[in-house]
Parts: sequence; structure tokens; C-alpha cells
Amino acid sequence: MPELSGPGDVCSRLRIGTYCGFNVRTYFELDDEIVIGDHVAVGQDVMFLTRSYDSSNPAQRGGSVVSAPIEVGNGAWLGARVTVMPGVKIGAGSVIGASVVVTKNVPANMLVMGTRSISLAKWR
Amino acid sequence: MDRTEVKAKGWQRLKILFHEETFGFHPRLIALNTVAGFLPRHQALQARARLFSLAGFQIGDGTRIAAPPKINGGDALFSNLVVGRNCSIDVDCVFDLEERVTIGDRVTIGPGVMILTSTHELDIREHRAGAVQRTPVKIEDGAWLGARCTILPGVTVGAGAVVNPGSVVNKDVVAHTRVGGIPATQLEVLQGAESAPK
Repeated sequence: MPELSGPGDVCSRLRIGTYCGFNVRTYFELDDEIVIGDHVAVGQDVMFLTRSYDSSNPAQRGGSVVSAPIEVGNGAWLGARVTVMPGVKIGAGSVIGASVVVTKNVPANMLVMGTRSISLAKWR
Repeated sequence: MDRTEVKAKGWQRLKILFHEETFGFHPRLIALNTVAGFLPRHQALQARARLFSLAGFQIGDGTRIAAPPKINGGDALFSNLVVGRNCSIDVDCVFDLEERVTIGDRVTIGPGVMILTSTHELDIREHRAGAVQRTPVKIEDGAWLGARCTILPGVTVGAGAVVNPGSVVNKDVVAHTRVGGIPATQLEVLQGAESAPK
């Protein structure tokens, strides 16, 4: 079962396109919008996190909540145990390898594995 | 050569076997997980923390737990988790309580964080994972552990430190710094160390 969490009306903040596939235990933290395009494949145990904290308070680094939306482009493929951090945009046709933590925007048609990434633009 | 084989004979062997099979059995923990299982995830955060302190864990006031963490450990399981006040523990955490895990005040623990206290000694090549070694873990006041990070045995995360999501921390984290990566390295020194409460 996928898991949705967040304050208030969480359902209105999740938008998923057509022909998407989600494997088991997807976790959507819906403090902000999560928009997923068409033909997206998502592996096991993938986390979409939209809540982060403003770490400026030294007494409690996880004090004040900041949230940012997530966008996943058409045709993207996320491997197992991928963690997508707040504010990240994953471009269309990108492939994210297993257990990658996506902290920065991923351009379209990129393959990300570990800390390295290569372009898939010439692949078909 | 098999070092895991029990050398004792007869009654002694049966006693060792019985301990091995039952040392991780805690009826009180099973009862706690059953009762806490009725509370919906992400809701009743303080009530869940209250249940955990009723069961025997030391948990301070104002601490919020979003879902029961997976807990395992030996005989001293219930005294091995000490959580301060006003902490926040997110869903799907794993606490290995073979040794003491001390969490200070105002600590934020993200979803899927794993805190380990037991590991193995490196043994002979036929059986690399040798005898179990246990070392306590300490998370000091105001720290923030990002989503899905792993804290390895013996680590102290300093006050006001931030551990980036997905990182694996294998050595102590200096107070008021941000660490990240596998293994975690220091990425930045955070502001405001002097104004933090002592």
C-alpha cells in the first residue's frame, strides 16, 4: 500500500498522470504538491519527501518546517529505495538508480547511479 | 572450522540454545506494538510517545512519535532507549537497542532512520562476521537526522548537528556541523553555535 501523510487535505496535493506504475510501499509526504507525469515507473520503497526544516535555529535544527513541491517528468523511471527530496524536479525520460537520494534537479534524459550521472539523450 | 558451533554439551548446551532462541523475546514489547498498532500512523503522536514511556522506555515530555519504530535488543532493552523532551521521531525508524541509545532534547529524527548499536568483530576468512560487539550511540540536543540516514555503532552526533538524508555516519559528528555522504563527511559548519542553549 502506498502511504500518504501530511496536514489537511492531502489528496488534493497529489497528481499522478496516466500509465504510471508504482511498486509496493511508496511513501508520499504531502506537505506540498507532488506532481507525477505520464508513463512514470516507481520502484519499491520510494519516498517522495516535501517537508524539510530550516536548520537556522541552533537549539533545534529540525525546528521550523519548510516545504517545497516535487515534480517528476513524463516517462521517468525511479529505482528501488530512491528518496526524492523537497523542491526536486526530475526531468522527462530520466532514470534514477536504486537507493539514490535525489537532492538536486535532474535534467531530462539523465541516468543517475550513486553520485554519478550520464546522459541518455543519444539512447533511442 | 565453524566458530558458531556451540562447544558445550548436554544440559549446558540446551541452556545456551534456549538463551539464543529467547533473548530477544519481550512480551511487553509485543503488547506495546499491539496497542500502538491501533493508533493510526502520523496521528496521536504524543499519545504514542506516552504509550512507549508507559511500557518502560524513558521518553521525555512533548516528544512526538509518528509511528512505532522497529525495536530489537537483549535483556536490557527497555533501559536502553533514553529520549529527551520535545523530540520528534518520524515513521519507519529502526532502533537496535543491544546497547544504550541516548537521544537528547529537541532532536528531530526523519523517516526511515536506522540507529545501530551492535556489529561484529572481523574474524577468520571462513567466518568473517565474528563475535558481536556492542557500543552505545548518542544523539545530542537539537540535532536533526535526515531521512533514511544510518547511524553506526559507537557514534556520537554532536549538539545542533545536521545529518544529510541517506548518509551513513561511521564516526563522531562535531557539534553544529552538517555532514553527508557515504561515509558521512563534514560539508559545512553551521551558524549559531554560540547562541545554542548549553
